[in-house]
Amino acid sequence: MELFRYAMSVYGQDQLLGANWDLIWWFGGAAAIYIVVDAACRPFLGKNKRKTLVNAPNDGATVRRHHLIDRLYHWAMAISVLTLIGTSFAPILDWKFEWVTAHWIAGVSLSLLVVYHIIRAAFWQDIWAMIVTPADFRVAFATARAALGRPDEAPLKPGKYVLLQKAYHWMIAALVLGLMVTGLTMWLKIDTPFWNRNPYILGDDMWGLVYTVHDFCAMSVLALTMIHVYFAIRPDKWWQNRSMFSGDIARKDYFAHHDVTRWAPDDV
Amino acid sequence: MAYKLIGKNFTPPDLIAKVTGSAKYAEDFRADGMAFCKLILSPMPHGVVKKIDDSEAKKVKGYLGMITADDVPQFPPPADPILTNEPMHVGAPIAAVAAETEAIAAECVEKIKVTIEPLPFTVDPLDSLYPQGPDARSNGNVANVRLKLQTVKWEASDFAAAGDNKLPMGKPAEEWHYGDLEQGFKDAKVIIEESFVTAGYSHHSLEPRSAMAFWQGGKCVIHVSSQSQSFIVPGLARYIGIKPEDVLLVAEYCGGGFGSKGTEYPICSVPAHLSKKFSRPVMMRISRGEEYALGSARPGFQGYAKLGFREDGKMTAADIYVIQENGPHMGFWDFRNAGEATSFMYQPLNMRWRGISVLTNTPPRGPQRGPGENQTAAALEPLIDKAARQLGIDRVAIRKLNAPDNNAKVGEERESVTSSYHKDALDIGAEKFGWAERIKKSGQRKGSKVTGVGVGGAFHPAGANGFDGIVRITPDGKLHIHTGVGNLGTFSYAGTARIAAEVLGYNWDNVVIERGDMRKGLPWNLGQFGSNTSFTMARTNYVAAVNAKQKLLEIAAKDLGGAPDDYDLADEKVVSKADPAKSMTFAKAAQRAIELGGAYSGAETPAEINPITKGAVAMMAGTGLVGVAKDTLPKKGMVTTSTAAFVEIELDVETGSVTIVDALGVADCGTIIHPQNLAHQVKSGMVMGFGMAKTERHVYDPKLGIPANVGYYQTKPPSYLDVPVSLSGGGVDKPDPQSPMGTKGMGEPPLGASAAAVLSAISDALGGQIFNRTPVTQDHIINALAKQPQAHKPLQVNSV
Amino acid sequence: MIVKDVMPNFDLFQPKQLKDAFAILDKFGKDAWKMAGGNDSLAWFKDRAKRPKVVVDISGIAELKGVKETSDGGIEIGALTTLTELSKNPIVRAKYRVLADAASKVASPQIRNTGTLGGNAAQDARCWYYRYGLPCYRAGGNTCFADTPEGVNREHALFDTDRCVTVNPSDTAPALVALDAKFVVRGSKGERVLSAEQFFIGPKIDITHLTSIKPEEILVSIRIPKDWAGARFYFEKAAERNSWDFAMVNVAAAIVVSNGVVERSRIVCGAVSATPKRLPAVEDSIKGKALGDDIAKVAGQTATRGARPLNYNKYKIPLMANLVTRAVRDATA
Repeated sequence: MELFRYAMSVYGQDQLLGANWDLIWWFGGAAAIYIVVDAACRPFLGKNKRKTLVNAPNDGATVRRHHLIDRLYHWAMAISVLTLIGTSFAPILDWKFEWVTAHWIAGVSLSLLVVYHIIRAAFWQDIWAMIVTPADFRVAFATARAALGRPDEAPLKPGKYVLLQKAYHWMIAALVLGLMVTGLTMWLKIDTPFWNRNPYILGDDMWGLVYTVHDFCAMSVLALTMIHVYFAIRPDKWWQNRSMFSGDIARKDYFAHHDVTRWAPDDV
Repeated sequence: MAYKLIGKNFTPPDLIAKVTGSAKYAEDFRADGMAFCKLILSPMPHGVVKKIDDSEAKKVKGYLGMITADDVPQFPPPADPILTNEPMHVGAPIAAVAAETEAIAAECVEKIKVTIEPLPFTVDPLDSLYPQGPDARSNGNVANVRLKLQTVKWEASDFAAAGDNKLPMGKPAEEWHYGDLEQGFKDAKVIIEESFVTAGYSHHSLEPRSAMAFWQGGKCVIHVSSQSQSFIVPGLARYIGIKPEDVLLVAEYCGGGFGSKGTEYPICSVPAHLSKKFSRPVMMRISRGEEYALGSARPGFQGYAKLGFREDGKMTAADIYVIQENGPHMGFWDFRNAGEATSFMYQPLNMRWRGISVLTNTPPRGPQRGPGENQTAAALEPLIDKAARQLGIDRVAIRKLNAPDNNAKVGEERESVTSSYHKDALDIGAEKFGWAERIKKSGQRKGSKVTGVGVGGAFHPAGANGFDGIVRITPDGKLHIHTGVGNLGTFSYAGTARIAAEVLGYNWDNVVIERGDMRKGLPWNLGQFGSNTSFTMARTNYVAAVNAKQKLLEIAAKDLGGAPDDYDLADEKVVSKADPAKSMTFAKAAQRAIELGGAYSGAETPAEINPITKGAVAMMAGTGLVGVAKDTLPKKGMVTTSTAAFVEIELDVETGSVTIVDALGVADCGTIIHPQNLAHQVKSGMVMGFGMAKTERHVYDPKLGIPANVGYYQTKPPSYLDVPVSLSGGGVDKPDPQSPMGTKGMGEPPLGASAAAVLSAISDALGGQIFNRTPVTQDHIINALAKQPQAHKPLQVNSV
Repeated sequence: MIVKDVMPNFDLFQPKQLKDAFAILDKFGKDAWKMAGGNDSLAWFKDRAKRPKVVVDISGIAELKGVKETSDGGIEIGALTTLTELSKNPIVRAKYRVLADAASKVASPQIRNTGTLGGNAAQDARCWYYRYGLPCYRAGGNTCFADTPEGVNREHALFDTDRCVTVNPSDTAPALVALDAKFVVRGSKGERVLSAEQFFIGPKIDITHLTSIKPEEILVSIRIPKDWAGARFYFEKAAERNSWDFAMVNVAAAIVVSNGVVERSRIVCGAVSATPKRLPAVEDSIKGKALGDDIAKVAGQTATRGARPLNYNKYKIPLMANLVTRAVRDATA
């Protein structure tokens, strides 16, 4: 399996063009395998639940997990990413349509959203909620033990996000930043009111790198998005995922799944 | 004087083979065990080869190996290399691969890894002359024949003074003048001052320069596509690295050369080198794209002309500056010819010429039909029109007033001419074309089409001297005329052979022309280029025939009694003047010559002839009566030829399309040897002129240094449908006094004259607008008609 | 190293039946190359710029040749009908002259003798950078060499560019669009009948192809409806040479006049965008009007609205305007 696409450059040298698009099937396949394995194994795992210290009543009381503005952000981002995925991979897989305009508009939208998100996360949100700490690893370890039927005596619970969620966030963040930087660089290849297209601003090798990074990031995002959607639609995660619609999780679930010392929402 | 053969149409002996397809060109030859060559060509405009790795090719079955620059003779820069480690244009040959088949050779080239480090390059002489500008070579940016390789940068102030629209004129590499230029302009009523560009472009020889070689008894038999025969042998020997006598050059047919195959060229030695290395005959087939890259091309000009005219139209002063785009190597001296051509065609009272030959990373240059003279015609003739308009003088009249005649002077040295009848050419042409009537149609519009009428003229030197002739009469009575001039395809080798037959009174059916293969015994002759053959070869064939005639008379006197003067030649017999019954056939005389030996049979040769001629005579000694002599006839002044061309066009003002509806050319060609052939030469030159005026040019992407035009459909030589059916050509038919039968060359000027006439007609149709550029392509005309700026800058070259 | 002008080896198939051709195409998929007259294909192979493993020479398939009248009053032209045949065909000459005229202006007599209508209409781009073998968008690369600050783009597009600025170089394509032709493409899985808008595609939709024919499909025929039979027609190709040249701009028009005014028309320019450029605004501008110089002039000006010239092709704007003016002014029955 070739990892890259090459062409003969103007001067007859091998020139890197980007990733081999056949890898789409490998990335997609890897995500699909992960999903299938996860879905298959889950019924057998975690039957031995950890004990809960606070048994909050199932009284319909809720805790705010995501503010409206953050939900709007998430869904705007989701639309951008899905548009980007659709407009890039469908034509490659031989579904021809006018994809470029939608793709770059979605790309620019995503970029603006990312900038907004960085600023909001840095100044208005609890950035520490997303920072990976040693405690996250202890929780993850404990969770894994629990899943394998060896619960700890002392219950360990995560803050707002578990390690895997944080890892997913940072992976997506890195990939999207990679896509943004390379995608915006490609913008130099089209005429805008601010500049005229000039592909010679970078050399062949550099452009090859830009496209390769973009391609691999894109295929990775495709795989991670598949996994994300999978978790989003799993019924056992609904207690949490509903908050991306309503903003809230049940107070009961808050106590059941989170360490109140590590995540204290305003309304608790 | 009435001739038996001269001035009559005939069928040249190679014509039937060409028409039937039995003619064998270099590519048509095969030899037992023949291998094929494919070249490794530079993909980039300038670089240094760091490494050539053929390890992958070695794994291919049928790969024989390769040669690189290190395996072939090297010549001091800026000579055109055979193979190079510093490629200076896209398509420069770096190495040559030999394999069992061409397909395998190509596959191997693909597998050979050549590491080339890119170097700065340029496709515009002005960029190279600019301070700190790129140089086409790592060792200089200015060179030409007799102009040493050097680096020249002009001052930024030279460019600033000129601005965008005028030629910057820094220090020239060469210059000359005569008279008082300043005074000349003071005496002028009208001064025309313009900068111009003439595009460089390819030769389009139908036969690319394929070659095949093998070694036999220490000698190299080499089949090449060549205009010339014996003249290229010494140079070819140098490229192969052997003695001239060891080169057995076979070049019977040439599918067009137009100057690009006039002298030896390096690439044709490659199969000889490969053949030597691998002990196999090797065929190298050159493709069209390769021909465009490593064949030859006409240099382009960026120029400036300031011309002063008296009230009556006489040119009082001419100031010419030419920057020649010369490709990366030695090139050719077109820029000098611009000065010579100006001085001849207009006989200006005072004149200055300045020029510089700048190197660019574009195809190597060489002479193309009227090198320099024809660019000059295309650049200056529109300016003569402009002056005529301003002075209110007829365009033919102003040309006639300035035209050269037998008292004309040429160039810096004010050299005299052997003859010039350009005024007659203008008169005959104007009369035949109906100039006076046609110009009444000038500017008339019918629908969207406007009629334009144009006239143009161009010049070229037309002959040389000092070469050798051989004729031989064999005991079967046949006359063998040995000609080493070559066969460009103009048939002048045959036309001038008839001079010898004429001297001896031969019936043409009894004449055999020996040519095309050095093994046939061919004398040292000038190459077939420079419009010279009909003068130079007329003289050598003449002196050889006179020598044979003398020997015939002597043999008759020996056998039949009396003195040689008592005899004359008639009906292929030596006949006593006093008693016509007393005679000896040429056949018998040939037999006697063999018996007599010595100079008669070629056993002895005159001291003054060239070693190549001596070798040729030695090959045939004892086979008949041999006439051999060096042309030592008197010659003073420059032999000149010129053509006047007349063109009528229709210019469609809605599409910018130019249709040539009628065209005529009249050449000052001395005595006409072969009227039909003369007409073809004039017409074919004019067709090339249509291309120069309308479509042909190099185009380069300036950022990448790669050529846009690599196929016929892109280079756009005129097609059959772009030529008017009524196109006709003829000659003045006045003898040149220094040619034995008055003949002289004429091949080159029809091109420039016709290009100039087309430009003149376009300008006429547009009410006097001139473009100062060749070619004037359809988009230029559309832009002009739409009154929108041209896409190119005025002095931009290698552009559309 | 780059080597050109020697054709690499490939497996050659020469099916005589369409179904055999489909079987071969299905078997080899994207590795197969369909060749009709070969005028373009062989040049690509010779330059080693396109290197299929398998070449399917369809020129021997008899059912794809010839012109026949259809039951609905139009004609159906086999894709392998040569341009020479087409230009001389009496039905085409009598009813759809614009197509015969266009076919007779293609390339040179030799090329018209072997070149086919299908091959001409579906031909590949002629951008010199692309033909040079450079890794441009159209060749699957990441850039356009023609649309750069100093790019040499005299032959390139005025309209509808998207990264790639090449034009559709065909002479017959505009004539076919003017006649509202339908393109019948067939594969083993079935047949599609495409309108010109569906058949010709620009870089926005597929930057590596000028038509929507799929690898496993063959353009089998072109149907001309009877709607434009006997209309006033005009075809003109502006090119620098009268033979063996591509159009700088060409124009094809079909105009139906009744009661002295234009009832309907289709006016199309070629070599100005990656698809034959139909000019609905021009058609609209002349509808219901009596043809004359003034209307023709307005039509020309209308035609070039929205043109975005590149470095070297601004001349195409007045040229296109004038050609459209002529088409409207000089179209004859």
